[in-house]
Amino acid sequence: MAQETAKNYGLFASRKAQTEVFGIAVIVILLVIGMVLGLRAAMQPSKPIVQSFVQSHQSQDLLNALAETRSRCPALTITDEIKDWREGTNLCDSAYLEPSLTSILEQTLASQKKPYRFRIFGGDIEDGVTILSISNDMTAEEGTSVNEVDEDQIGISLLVREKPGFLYIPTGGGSTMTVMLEIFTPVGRR
Amino acid sequence: MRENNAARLTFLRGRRAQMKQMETIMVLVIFFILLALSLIFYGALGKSSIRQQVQERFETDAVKIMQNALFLPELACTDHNLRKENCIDRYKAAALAELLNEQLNTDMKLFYAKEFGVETDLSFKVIFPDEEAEVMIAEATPFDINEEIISQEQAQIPISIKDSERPYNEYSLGIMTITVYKYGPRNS
Repeated sequence: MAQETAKNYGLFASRKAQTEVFGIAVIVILLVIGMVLGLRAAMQPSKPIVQSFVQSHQSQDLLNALAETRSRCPALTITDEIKDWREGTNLCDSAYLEPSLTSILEQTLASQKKPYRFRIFGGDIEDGVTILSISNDMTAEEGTSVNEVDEDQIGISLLVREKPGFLYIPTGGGSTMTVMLEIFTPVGRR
Repeated sequence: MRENNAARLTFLRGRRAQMKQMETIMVLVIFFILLALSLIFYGALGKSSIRQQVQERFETDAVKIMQNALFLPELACTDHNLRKENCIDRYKAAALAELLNEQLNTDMKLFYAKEFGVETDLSFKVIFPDEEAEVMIAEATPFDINEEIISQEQAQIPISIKDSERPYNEYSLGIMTITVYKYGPRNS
């Protein structure tokens, strides 16, 4: 009888110890999870405020400035030159347009290592045909070319498209040309 | 026999008490180790969070300075009394640059320090149709010469540059570069 009681007591004590160890294990696991979560929150890099500020309207600012910049043809602005090139009125040598636009985009965006895609559509973006497209090829090193970034591919691309800029140019025939500038940021550089 | 048993019982009780004491000590040791670890962790977390807040504050201030610089009436170009966005008048800019870069004009520098701080480089450059040399409007000067740059934020903003002397098509395309520096004690 006495032996059995002692045996039962031993069993009870061992169970109690097991429960205690289990309790400690749960506490340690909870602490580790808390620490990992806290550490992850602390290590998360904050969004660069200045870059966000600049990128949010860089493409629109550039198009606005570009629109009224005087071109290399006397008495014409870049907008006039695009119109002239589209309508074929030959106020200016059409060979000037593309090199001028490329030069501007290279000096403003490519010099900052920013991939871009500049397009002029014959009408609306939805039904208009691209009549001029200029993009830089520096994206090969990033693994994705800007021309591979389509609307439905943006989420999985290595390039993130910033807010695009638009410029609408009315033409003689009552239609409107749309100029669109997209600037991309490689994911790692965000 | 009975004496022997009593002695054994006393010995066993003493040993049990020792074990209980050891258990309590171990629990306390583990508790303090966990407490110390938590404090170290919390301290590191707090330090990193403060550093992040300081950086965010600096960046927010930098954006404020950039906006002030972009909307400065002393630089803005107007057309028939209408102010143009993201446009600077090159003659106004040259006049302001002259005023701010005069060596002895401390009052004027302090006056404009309210607008874009004394720790800011502000310059613009015409890039199209003809490329021109960069014009420095304001140059950063640290309050204390024993300080050095510890952080900087730069923005390059495309702008129109107006040349009022031209009778028509007076706008060129340029880049305004605004660099805001953060100075700190020199590491020696």
